[in-house]
Amino acid sequence: MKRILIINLRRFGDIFYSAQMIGGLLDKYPTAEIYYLTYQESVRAAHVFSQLQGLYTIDREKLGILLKGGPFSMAHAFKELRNCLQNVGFEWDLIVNISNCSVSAFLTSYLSHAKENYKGIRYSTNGTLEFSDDWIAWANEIMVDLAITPFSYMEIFQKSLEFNSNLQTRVELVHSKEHDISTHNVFSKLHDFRASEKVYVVALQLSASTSDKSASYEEAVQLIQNIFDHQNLYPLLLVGPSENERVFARKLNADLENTLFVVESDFIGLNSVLRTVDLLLTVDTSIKHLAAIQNTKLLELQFNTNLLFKMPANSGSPVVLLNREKIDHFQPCAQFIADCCSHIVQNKSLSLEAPAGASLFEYSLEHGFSLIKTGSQEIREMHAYYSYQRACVTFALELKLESMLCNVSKELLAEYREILSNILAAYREISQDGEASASKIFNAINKLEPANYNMSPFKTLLAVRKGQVQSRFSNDVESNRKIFKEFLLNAKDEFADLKQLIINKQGSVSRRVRIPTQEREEYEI
Amino acid sequence: MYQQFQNQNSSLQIAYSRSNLPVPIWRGVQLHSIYDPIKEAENFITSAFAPLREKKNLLIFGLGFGYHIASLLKKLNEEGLQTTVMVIEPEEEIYRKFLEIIGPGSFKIIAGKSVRDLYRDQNFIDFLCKKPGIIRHPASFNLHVEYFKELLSYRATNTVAELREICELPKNSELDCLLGNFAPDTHLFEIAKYEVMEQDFFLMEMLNAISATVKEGRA
Repeated sequence: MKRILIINLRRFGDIFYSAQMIGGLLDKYPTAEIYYLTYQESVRAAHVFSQLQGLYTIDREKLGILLKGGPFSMAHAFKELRNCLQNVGFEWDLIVNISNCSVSAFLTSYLSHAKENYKGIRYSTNGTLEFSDDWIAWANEIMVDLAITPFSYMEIFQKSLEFNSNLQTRVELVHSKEHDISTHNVFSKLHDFRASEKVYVVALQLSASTSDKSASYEEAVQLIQNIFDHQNLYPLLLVGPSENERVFARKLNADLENTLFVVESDFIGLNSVLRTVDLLLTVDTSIKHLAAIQNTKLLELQFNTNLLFKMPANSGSPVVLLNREKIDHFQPCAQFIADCCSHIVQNKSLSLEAPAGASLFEYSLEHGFSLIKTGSQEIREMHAYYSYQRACVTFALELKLESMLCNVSKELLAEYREILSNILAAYREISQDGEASASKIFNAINKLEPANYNMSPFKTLLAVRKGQVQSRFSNDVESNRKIFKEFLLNAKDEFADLKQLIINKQGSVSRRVRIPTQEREEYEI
Repeated sequence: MYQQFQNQNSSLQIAYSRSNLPVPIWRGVQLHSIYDPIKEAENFITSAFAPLREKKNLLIFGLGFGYHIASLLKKLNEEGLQTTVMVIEPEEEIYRKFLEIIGPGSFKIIAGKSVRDLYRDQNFIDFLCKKPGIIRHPASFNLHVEYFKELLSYRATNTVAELREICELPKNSELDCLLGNFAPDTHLFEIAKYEVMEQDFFLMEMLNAISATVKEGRA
């Protein structure tokens, strides 16, 4: 039986999002005991997972006070932290650090000290960042600098842990019987209220952590009104237990002549509500992931283009992207969203025309985001770039070549030749110079990049390998030189494999006959 | 006017008030009213407690014979507040006599510890982390003004020596041996920059990183 520890030092949304990780781990290791380590301030989100064997917490607030200085010594904080982690122990078969931050990286180094039982990032004993595998290296070395995220962090971990894309294990949530009964009673009355025809209840969560992610008051009124006016939809407003949201709901309800059902609940209560509604329409990521865990149908609204590809929910969930700058009147968008809701609850395909400023996407674990409808050329280009990046990375790290890359293979092969020539030049330079200095190695590494700075599988692989080799460097220049030479030889072989795949896929005999040239180059190295 | 308990060898004397309640006198200074200590305590708590009503934890400087604390607990009870009270008393003898004459109360007391030892006391540190409101019992505070000033202005050194003391490391434990490589006055931030990161040093770095996130959060 495997003992697995998930480290997640993030907020509610990310904790719910990690349900995919728990499901994947249970799918892969059905008898595993899974434990969770998070900050005290986020633990109530983790309490919803019923399949966890145990929950450990770090009291960041207390540590923050102890680290303020003054009468408190760092030694107090050290003692507190060490005591917290004493219960966690070191006997883990696998530690999955999904936080991807420096705090969790140091924590992983501590818990997996002198072992290789981790996934994610940690620090090596010489203080450099270590990656458990190529996917994690790519996410940390390259993805962080990209404007568009071709893979979400959870997808990266699914790749890293080699999960099946068709997960079988359902993550189970803690439910309160009391909440289940009261929710059921309320909803039966709601259905009775409009009993003449089939009515689908649409729960709306229209507030998020920031105002640019939230629906404005006017947008909220129009959305709710359109759902009210729809022949087979009925709206239900969800609010979190905060005074701001209560005020927002009261004002909305006053404007809608107190006809709106408003539900305020904590996470456990929310589970019961989400199980009972027919669809969740949400701008908030936390509740989106909570709904996704229990397969509640959902439609996500996004107002911020930059966030589009970052945290997708389960396979098959649609997203409406609203670009406020391109929207003159919100009414057509509100109508479009209500129509989308109606189609989703009735399992109809989403073939509606998107009004100006609105775009419709669908997400699947295997293919990422597909663009269903848009009137915007800009969005089309953004999505094409997203797909191309995705294909490049998958090809570089998993050798899966999509037709999209075959179409541009001439350019790719040109890039291959450029990088290969850079590798050869670097190898010669380092081999000939008997007294290579640290800066010489550093310069040689930097000169490996091709002049063309577009995304490609070769550049992806090069960046991943560079990140990995640099983390192995120490203060010993001679040893670094050896490591670098070894890196160049391996990179050359890997690149040759990639190139060969492109040539084979193309079926170009003329390119295959060039292999002897390649062999000559290898001999030179 | 009032009965008086005297022990020539002690700094502590016990007098009895008009209302026949024991009043400690430390080196000639009486710590409660000699007329009506309960009335005095109630008046004091009414004004001292008002600005601290929202606090879930209260730290009292000075025990005396606890009339002010009894008055505070009564007020908390009347208002239905679940507030935790901790008392710091510099003189252990006063505390012992309090136990003997008045008896233990439903609050935590730390007595007779030096300021330095107080900051080595985990219960005290845990309590301070809860950001308690502070109530100064005027007579006790004035009597031990230097002690309480030192308590309020204490600064940790953040050195290897302090880490050893606070963590009470067993001799020859792994961390104790590691720390043996450093001079006792080495700052703890420095040991994390050691060339090879030992297991426990990762925790030091982790704390540095947490400190940065907490500062970001505050900003």
